Amino acid sequence: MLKILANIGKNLISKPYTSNYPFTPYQHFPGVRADVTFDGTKCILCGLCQRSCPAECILIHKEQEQIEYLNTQCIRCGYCVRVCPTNAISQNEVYTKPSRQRLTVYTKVTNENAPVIKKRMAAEAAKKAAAEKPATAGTGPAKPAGEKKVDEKKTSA
Amino acid sequence: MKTTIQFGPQHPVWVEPLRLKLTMDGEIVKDCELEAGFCHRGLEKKFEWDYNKGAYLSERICGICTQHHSTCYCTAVEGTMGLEIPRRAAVIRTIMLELERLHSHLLAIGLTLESIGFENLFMLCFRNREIVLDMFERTTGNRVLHGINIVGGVIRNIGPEMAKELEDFCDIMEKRCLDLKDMILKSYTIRERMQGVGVMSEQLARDLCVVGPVARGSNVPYDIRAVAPYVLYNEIKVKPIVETSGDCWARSVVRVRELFQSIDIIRQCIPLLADAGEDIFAKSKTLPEKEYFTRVEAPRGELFYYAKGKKSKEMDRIKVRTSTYGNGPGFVPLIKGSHLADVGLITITFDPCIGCFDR
Amino acid sequence: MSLIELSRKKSPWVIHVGTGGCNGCDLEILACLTPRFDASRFGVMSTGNPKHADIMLVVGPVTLKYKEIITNLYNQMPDPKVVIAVGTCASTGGIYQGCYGHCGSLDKVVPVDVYIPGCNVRPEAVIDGLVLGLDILNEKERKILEEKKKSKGAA
Repeated sequence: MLKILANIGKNLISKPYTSNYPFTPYQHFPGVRADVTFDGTKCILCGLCQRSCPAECILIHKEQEQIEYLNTQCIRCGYCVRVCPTNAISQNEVYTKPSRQRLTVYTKVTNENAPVIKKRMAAEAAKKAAAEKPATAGTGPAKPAGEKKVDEKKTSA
Repeated sequence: MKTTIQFGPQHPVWVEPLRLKLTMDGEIVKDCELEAGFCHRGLEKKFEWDYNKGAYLSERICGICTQHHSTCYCTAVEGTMGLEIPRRAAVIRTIMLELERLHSHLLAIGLTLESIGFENLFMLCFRNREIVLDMFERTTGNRVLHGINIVGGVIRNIGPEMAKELEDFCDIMEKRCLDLKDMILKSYTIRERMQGVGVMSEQLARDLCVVGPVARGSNVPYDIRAVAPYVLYNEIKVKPIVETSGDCWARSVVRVRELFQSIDIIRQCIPLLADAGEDIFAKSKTLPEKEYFTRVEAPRGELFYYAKGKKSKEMDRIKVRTSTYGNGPGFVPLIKGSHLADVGLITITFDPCIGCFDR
Repeated sequence: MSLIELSRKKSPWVIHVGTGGCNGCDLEILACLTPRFDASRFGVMSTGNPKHADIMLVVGPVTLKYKEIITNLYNQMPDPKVVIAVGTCASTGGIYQGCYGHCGSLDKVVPVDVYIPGCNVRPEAVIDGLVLGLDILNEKERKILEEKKKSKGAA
């Protein structure tokens, strides 16, 4: 009985245990695994992450020089971060907010050392030299349409 | 007069889908039929791919015994390659396994208490469980699916600072578990509700080959950690905890007592971290080609993985036999002849994990 | 804001449906309703009965055997209703891509309003998702009321 009274007293004095989350900011420990971000200046479009992803959530479009990352499909395992040869992938620590649609993030690759881009630049330079006409640097399509995505999936399967 | 009742698949007692077809005579259950397969995703077929990805897939068979599944998988695949993991990785794996058992048992005890209507103690169990989850988040980076086991070792180290935190955690946890133990074991209400309900005799337990706390509650001292030691259990001796009565109460008490055993094992493991080398990962030079099987004592019982390689990165075959699969046949004879109100309690003391059951 | 809307916003009842995932997100939803991240502060209450529920929290990829049951549960819920896909598996299939035993994602079976990414989801994300779900619930409620008014005006 005395123990109960002591416990009641302790609980009355102590702070509430519940975290006051939506009214206080989100706190986490260092090193928490969340979604990944791609660094377009380091990526060499090797496609290792696409092949190693267990959830098949990374799609590399070599022609358009961009990475398609299906955020909602990612399982946050961090395997792509480990396999990346140029450390172009970094893992965030803050979770993704819920949304009404599925999230897809596109990253444009601008690394000049990437073999695909080197080839294109060389080809462009050759073309330029041949025609002696200023070629417009291909910025690529802003965002591929849904049809393209389907095509890409079909080819990969 | 006979009535047929469908118990499940969507039922408040279980989080997961499982269907029991009960034939009733008044309040007494005359016949019971177990229907599973609501969670069947076809994972064993999916395992026939890159063995590195398989470690992540094996975690997602079951979210409650994540670490056990991935340790068992990794050990099996390492066996097919003849790979020896570094000692530090083994110590870290053992610590994680015991932490996992701690949180799983707290969950099981909490759900058992909730099914008999003891909401307060359920909340307390979950409150204690949050400390374990915080520890997981700090050491591995995720609350439930840890993802630190890979074939060849682990990916996150436990440094000296973290070891200190683990020691503090053990002290706090032991104090809380003592409180919990007092509350459960001395409670007249819980004892009256659970004693003598769903009795599984020792003979029946041996006949049905049940595993884990269900077997140990029926006086069968079967614990893989003692019978066939794996990772670090060769050095750390584990004595199976046994209760004799075989009812719901005994199964719950086994779980409560195993909490302290787990804390004890973590305590014994922490000093070993200091002597172990710095390596946490060994790269394999060969591809999986032989056959191998491993057994791990998951919180629910024996967990079995069979792996067969075919000299390529893809595995040839992975067979998983989970603990709930071993315990599943035990539901039926216990439910037969019991009251309808006890069906939920009896099944929940088995700690069914349908994700494991169906895969 | 009408009285019904206010009371619904103050106390949404949720039904938690596990459809064959790995339990990780199931546990986080349970953690959401227990002391640490107490969602009951917002009046969220877990119910086992679909006929009482406003919000359906679905966990895991929908297995072929469970497909029928989940449509059944969805049809039993009263209007307005919101379906929240909790976790990567329910949203897109996640790591179970290409397994034969499930039908990919939840939105192939019932319409989904909110996607909560994460494997496993954090309890904070579940709370955020519930808050977002409440807005959608009220939007739907208003739409239904307008339609009723229109049909009344026409008659």
